[in-house]
Amino acid sequence: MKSLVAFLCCFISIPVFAQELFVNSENASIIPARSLTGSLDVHLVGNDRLYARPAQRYVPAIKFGISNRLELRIGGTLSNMHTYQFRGESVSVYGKYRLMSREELHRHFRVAGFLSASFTNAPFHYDEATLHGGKSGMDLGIIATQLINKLALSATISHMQLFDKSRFNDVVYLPTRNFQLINYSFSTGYLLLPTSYRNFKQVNLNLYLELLGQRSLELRKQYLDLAPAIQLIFFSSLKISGSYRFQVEGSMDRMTHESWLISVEKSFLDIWASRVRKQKISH
Amino acid sequence: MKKLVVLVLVCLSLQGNAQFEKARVQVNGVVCSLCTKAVMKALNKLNFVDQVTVDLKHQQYDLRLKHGVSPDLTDLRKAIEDAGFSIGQLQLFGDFGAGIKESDSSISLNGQTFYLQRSGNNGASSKAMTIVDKHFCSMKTYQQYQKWIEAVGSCEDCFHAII
Repeated sequence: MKSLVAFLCCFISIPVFAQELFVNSENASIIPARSLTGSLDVHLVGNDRLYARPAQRYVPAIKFGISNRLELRIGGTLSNMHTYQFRGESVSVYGKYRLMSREELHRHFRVAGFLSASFTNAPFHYDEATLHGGKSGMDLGIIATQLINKLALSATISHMQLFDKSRFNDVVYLPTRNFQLINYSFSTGYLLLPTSYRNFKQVNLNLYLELLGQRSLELRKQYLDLAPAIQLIFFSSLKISGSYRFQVEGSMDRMTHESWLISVEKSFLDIWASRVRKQKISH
Repeated sequence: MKKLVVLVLVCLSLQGNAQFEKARVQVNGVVCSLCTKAVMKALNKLNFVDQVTVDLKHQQYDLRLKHGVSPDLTDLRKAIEDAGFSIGQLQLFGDFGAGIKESDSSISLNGQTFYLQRSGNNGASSKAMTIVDKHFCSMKTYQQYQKWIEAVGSCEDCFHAII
């Protein structure tokens, strides 16, 4: 039974997709202006430590391309990870702003800053912090992405502050809780198929390997995970991804040391009209 | 005398009707089909574009321009940048060569002014011009012509081109 359940895992991360691909982290690109992307991520855990049973989290989200430099995402989570019953868990907003872009044919280097905020009604469990369901707080960071033909490399670092009422309680002090953390990741991706582009109907196959870490600034605790992933893109607009994430080493108290993610994302271009200059007629 | 009058009238009419027929844009930074689709959709929406075809391998977009509608190069640039990319090279093609004399340093076409620099090739075509203004070409190309552009000066609806 456990081996069957082992196929079901929960993935605790922030899986958001931009035009470039990564499954477990963001890249520095912005989705096209006036476009909209809808996504649904399913995180699965084989054994939720607290309740000694499998758990899952559903993360619906919508992303808007506000301009060629700014995108905004709003989302929520429904889960039974921190509660006995399955219920609405959190809401979140995420904004990413492109700071810099250097482009050449088939390659670019981009840097973006991001700010994320989330509110959850889940109880404060574990040392590990995620803003999508697990904890309430804010996360401020920077992303750098280098794209060279079919290879993508990206690095992210961010500072997270958690806002739980226990943090501001002057009467009861909980020394085992951490409210300030650093997140970091290094991701690589490779476009395996097609070997050469001929038309938009070709299916894209991307492979990824990501290192994701978190370190508490108050307790001497941290973790480092490895997450291989596979992604298919159909008709240049529909993405389906799957990832398995597991702990390489760490000392943090966590719900699980391994999890699975399945994600579906659909993009819609030119959702609203742009302002263009009045056209001049030549005669 | 009659032949001379006819020749002058033909030349005048050629200049009056001279316009761009096609534009070729190379876009930088694109490596996936979703990205290419975003650029194509943005270019198809421009009201001076009749049809767009793309060379996916080289990220070259050929735009067939509508007759009688002035191509707005600023809107073309904005469309590509809104999709998240930038212009690597922009070439304009048209039968405007008859209106350009060897001594001309600029021409006016479709309400826009193009300051010209010859490429120095003996067989240079007078039917194609490459825009070298900032954001309309690669940074390397712009830096190559930057001094000339600054010396000539800039204005709205003015562009600098190599023929």
